Amino acid sequence: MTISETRRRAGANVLLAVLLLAVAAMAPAAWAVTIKVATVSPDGSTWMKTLRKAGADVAAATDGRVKFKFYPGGVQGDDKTVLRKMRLGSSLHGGVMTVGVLSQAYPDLQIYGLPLVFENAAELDYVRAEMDAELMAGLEDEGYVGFGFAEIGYAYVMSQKPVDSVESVRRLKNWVPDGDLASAKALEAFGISPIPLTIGDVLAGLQTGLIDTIAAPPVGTLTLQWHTRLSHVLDMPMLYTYGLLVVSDRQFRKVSAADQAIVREVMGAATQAVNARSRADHEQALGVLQRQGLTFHVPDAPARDTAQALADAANEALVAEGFVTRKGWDRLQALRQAYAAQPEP
Amino acid sequence: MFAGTLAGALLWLGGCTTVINSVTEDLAADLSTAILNSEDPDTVRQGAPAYLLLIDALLGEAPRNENLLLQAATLNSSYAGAFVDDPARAQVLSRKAMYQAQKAVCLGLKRACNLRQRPFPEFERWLAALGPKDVPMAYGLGTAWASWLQAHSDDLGAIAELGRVTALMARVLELAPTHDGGTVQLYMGVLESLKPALVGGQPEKARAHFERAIDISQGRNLMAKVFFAESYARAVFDRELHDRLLQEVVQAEPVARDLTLTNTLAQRQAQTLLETADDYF
Repeated sequence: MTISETRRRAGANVLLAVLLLAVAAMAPAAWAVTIKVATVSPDGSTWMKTLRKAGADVAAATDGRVKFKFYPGGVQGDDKTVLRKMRLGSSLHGGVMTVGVLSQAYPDLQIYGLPLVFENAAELDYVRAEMDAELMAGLEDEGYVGFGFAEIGYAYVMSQKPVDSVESVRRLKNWVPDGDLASAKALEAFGISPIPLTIGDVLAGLQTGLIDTIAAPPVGTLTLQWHTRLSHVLDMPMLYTYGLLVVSDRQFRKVSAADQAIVREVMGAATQAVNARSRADHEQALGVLQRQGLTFHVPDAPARDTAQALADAANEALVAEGFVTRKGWDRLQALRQAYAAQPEP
Repeated sequence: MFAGTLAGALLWLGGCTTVINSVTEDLAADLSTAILNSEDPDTVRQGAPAYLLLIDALLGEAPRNENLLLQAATLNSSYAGAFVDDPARAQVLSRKAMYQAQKAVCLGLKRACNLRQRPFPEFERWLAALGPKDVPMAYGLGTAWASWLQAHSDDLGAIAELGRVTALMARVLELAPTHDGGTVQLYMGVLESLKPALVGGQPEKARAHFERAIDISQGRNLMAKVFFAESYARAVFDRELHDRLLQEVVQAEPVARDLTLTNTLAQRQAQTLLETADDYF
């Protein structure tokens, strides 16, 4: 072998070694876990913008070992369909959804959303600071990994007719989201017989007079342009609405423990960011509804008391029939009492 | 479409004989032709602000000239939409354009002041009373309004007005379906794509508007295909349609009478969309 040949071979060996190293470095990416997440939220929404950024952050922090792929705008179907696909596990592994459908797997997920549970935002935040993690743990026992809740805001009763009490609402044609058991139960508790329609049919329903009253969060009402067919608001936050990003445990377990921690941290922070932004949006939305010409009617003290009594009785009945667990409900009430017992700041 | 509207606005300047002398008039017409047929968007990006200032100066002399106000609105909003990347600057320009457009229709059309504040059913009655001769004003307001909304899409106060812009554009389209070289169809396509089908949107209506826009320009307006891909194909996750439309744009000859600038911008945008498609789909 000539010297030049030896050098060439050595050169080739070095090249081979470099190539092997490069392949080794690429290997984790080749075995990357992709988590496919669908949502009804359209691209460009706060949720989607925040999640896309978080997905990119996860990919960067895990050197491409964990990737998120998003399907916005309901292209994969409604929450129910998304959850079914998640269970099958082949085409989808996660969803951004309201708690409604998921509560079939874990009822207490909807516990904050019972009617007139909280006195004010400070009390709600106090309870959530303690209880969110407990609910996430409970959800995980059922095979779903959540990263915290993001609020959507309180639902208000809004109507084409003046509304200043539960009684005034009873006489109207109220909408309930088709298949939404929680809302149906809540309305039933107030003695309201609602008309079920899909979200997509609400605007037309208001236009044709099929319905004249809805209960919905102001942000959603504005986004879907329902406010263009409404004139009055009952100025009483009726029930808390919220959603979450959830991933099937089966897919999440494919990720290494170290990378799972990264995903939890990044997606947890993203959910918190959406939560904070939603709070601000909700406050703004109430003002926008007023500027769009809707009249807010503050219920008087007797009307408020009546509503609260109806809600308390309803919630008790819902607990009794297992809509949420007794244990969860007692825990929530204990936290409310702890909040009330705090010394004044 | 924004570049087309921008140059169209300059062209229209030629019609404002009461304010602009014949030299300016000829200059405006020549400039419009030059801009529309420019293959160099960067020159237009840098040069057009001079005309935003010029029209401001003209408005100083004739603050209640509704046609001039409408031109100013169209210029400002088109420039913001086509060339301004800084969101804060785009907001300032689009706000100014919206103010000018509102003032223009308030002066130029019947009972057209305070359109944003009046109850929606009253707004709809006003729309129903519009006739064919009102189309240019109504369309000018619609385009400024849409640009303002686009620049403020994070603001719920703006989102709340989406229903009004959509109703306004729908009325213009009803009165003049081929207005502005079919660009009115393009606006409706984008507006109809915003709401997913699951929450009451009608993506197939959006698709029909995009196809009509392409037909009206006989395929020459490449921006129609870019918006079709970006707003519709992405929203419904139709990768095949997305890539086909954008490949057609990239491979097309951009030089077309009064569409060269728009088409050149469309090709740039198409390239970006193709490059990001793997991440999206």
